[in-house]
Amino acid sequence: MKLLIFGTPKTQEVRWIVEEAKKAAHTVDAISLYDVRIATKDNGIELASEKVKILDYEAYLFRGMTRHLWEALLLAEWLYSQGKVVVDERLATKRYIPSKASTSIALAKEGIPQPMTIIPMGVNEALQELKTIKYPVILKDAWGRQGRRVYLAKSFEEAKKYVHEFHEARQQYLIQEYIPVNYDTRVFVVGDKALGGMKRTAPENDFRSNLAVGGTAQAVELTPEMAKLAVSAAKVSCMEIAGVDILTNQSKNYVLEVNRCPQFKGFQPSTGINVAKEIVDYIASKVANTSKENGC
Amino acid sequence: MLLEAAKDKTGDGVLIDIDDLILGTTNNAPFVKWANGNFLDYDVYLIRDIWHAMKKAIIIINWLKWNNKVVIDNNLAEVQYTINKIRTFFELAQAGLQVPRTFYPQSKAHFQKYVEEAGYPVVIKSNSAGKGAYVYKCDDEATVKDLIKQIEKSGHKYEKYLIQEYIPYKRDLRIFVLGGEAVAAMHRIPKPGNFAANYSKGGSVEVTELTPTIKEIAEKAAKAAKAEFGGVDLLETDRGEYYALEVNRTPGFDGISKATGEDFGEKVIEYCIKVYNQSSGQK
Repeated sequence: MKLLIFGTPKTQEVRWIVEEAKKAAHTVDAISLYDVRIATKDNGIELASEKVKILDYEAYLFRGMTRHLWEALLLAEWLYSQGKVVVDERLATKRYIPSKASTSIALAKEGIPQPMTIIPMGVNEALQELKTIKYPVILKDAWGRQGRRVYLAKSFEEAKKYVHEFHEARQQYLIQEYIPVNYDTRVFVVGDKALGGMKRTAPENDFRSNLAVGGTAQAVELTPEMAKLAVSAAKVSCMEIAGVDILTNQSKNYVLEVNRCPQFKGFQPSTGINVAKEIVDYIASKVANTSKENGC
Repeated sequence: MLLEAAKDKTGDGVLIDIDDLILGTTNNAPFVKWANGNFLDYDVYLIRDIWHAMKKAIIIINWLKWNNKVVIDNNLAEVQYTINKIRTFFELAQAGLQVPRTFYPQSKAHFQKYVEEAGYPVVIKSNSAGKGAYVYKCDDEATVKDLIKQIEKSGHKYEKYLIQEYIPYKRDLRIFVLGGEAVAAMHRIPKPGNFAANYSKGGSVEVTELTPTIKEIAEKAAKAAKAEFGGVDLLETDRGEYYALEVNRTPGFDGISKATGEDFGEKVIEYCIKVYNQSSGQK
C-alpha cells in the first residue's frame, strides 16, 4: 500500500505510524497541511505539494487538522472523487463538524447513554436553565480539546460567570450533568474493533482526567458492554479511528466524548497495544477491499 | 419582506431568533425548547442570516431534518464550511466553470509568493466577510505592503484571505436562482470610487437580459455550490467571457426587486410552499 499522512510529521503518533507502515513494507510519507498548495487553475483545482506528488498514493490518513478544517475537507473530497481511500471516509462523504454539540445530539438520536446535556443558543436561555439545574454542573467549550475550557461550576453565580465568558468569546458551549467520578475510560476504536481501554484518573484538585491536564493512565480490561458501547458510539459519529471516553457510575456507563483520530502517545505505552500497527493494518485492509460499500 | 409574504400566502409565519432556542439531550433523547411556542409547530423552516451563528445553525438544521421537517437551508448543513468563500470558489472551478486564478495562502510566505504569481493588479479578499467588506484591489507592490501592515495590525491570519487574479470586466452581474432555475438578472454599478459593486455598499442596480449563456452558467454555478436558491455573481468581460465569482446563499432581495419591479420575497415564499407540497406529496 502507498499511504500519505496529513498531519504534523514530527508528532509521536505520526512517527509511529510511519515506522509501522515501513515495517510492513508499505510506502509511506507524511506532510503537513501547510505544505499543500491550494489554488484554482485552468478552470479546475490545483492541490499540490513541493514535498510529494499528492496523487501518487492509494490511501490518505488525516490526522490533526483543527486549524485546517476546510482545507482538509476539500482535499479529502477531491482525493475521494479520484477513487482514493480516505480515512476517515466521512471527511469526504459526510460533512464533518468537530463539535461536541453535534456528537452529543448524534448519540442521543441513537439512544446511546450520555450525561444530560444542554446546548443553549442565547445567554438568557442558558441562565434560565442554570437556575433550575442541579449543582455542581459542567460547562465546556463545544470545540475544546484536551480538557481545555472545561469548567466545574459549584453554584449558579459561578456558572453565570462562565456563561458570560463563553458568550463574550462567541464560543459555543455545553452545559452537562456532572457524574461524580474521578476517572474515565478511554477506549481506542479502529474500524469495528475496540482495541483496549485505559483508565484515566484525574490529578488531585482537578475533576478532569485528560492526560494533557496531568491525568494518570493505567491499562484496564474492557468489559464486553464497554467495548460494544465504544464501537457503537464511534459508528454513530461516523468515525473509523476514534477515542471514546466512557464514565462509569454505579455500574452504568455513559459516553462522554467521541474524539476523531485521537492522540495515543499515552495510550500505546500504558496499554502495550500497538495502536500505530492497528491503524496501518486497518487502512491496508481497506485498500485491499477497495469496495466502498461499508462507508459511513 | 419574507415575513409579510409568508403571512399573505399561508396565513402564518414567524421569525425565530436562534438565540432563543435551547437544544439538549436528556434521558438519552434529544430535545428542543423555545420559550415563545412549540418550535416544531411549523411545516417549513427557511434559514436566513445565520452567518454570525453558523455552528449553532447547523445543529438546529440537522435537528429539524432529523424531525423530518422541510428545511430550506440551501444545503447549509451539507456544505457547512462554506462560511468561507474560497470553498465555493473551488466548487465552481471543480465544476469546470471559468473562475479567476485564485490562491489560498496559509502563511505570510505563501501570501507574498501568490501575490507575485497572480501579478498586478491583484484582488485580495477576506474569506468569510460578505457584502463587499474586506475586498481590496492592489495595483502595485506598495499597496500590497500597506495591506500586509494592516493585516498584521488587525491580528487577522493570512489564511483569512484569498488572492485572486484581477479580471478587467465590463459588467458585474448578479443572477437570482430559485429551485435550480435562473429567474432574473441584474448588473450592479459600483458607487463612484468604489471597486466592489455590492448593492449593500451603495452600488446601484439595473435589470439585465437573462441570455441563454448567462442562464446556463448561473444554473451550473448554483448547482455546483448546492444552492437551491441564491445569488450568483458573474463578471462579464469585453470579449463576452464570463467568470463565476461567488454564489451567495442568503442574498438580499431589495436590489433585484427594485430592478425588476417584482417582489422576490413573495417568489421565495412561493418556492417554499412548492417544496413543502412536493415533500408532503411524497409522504
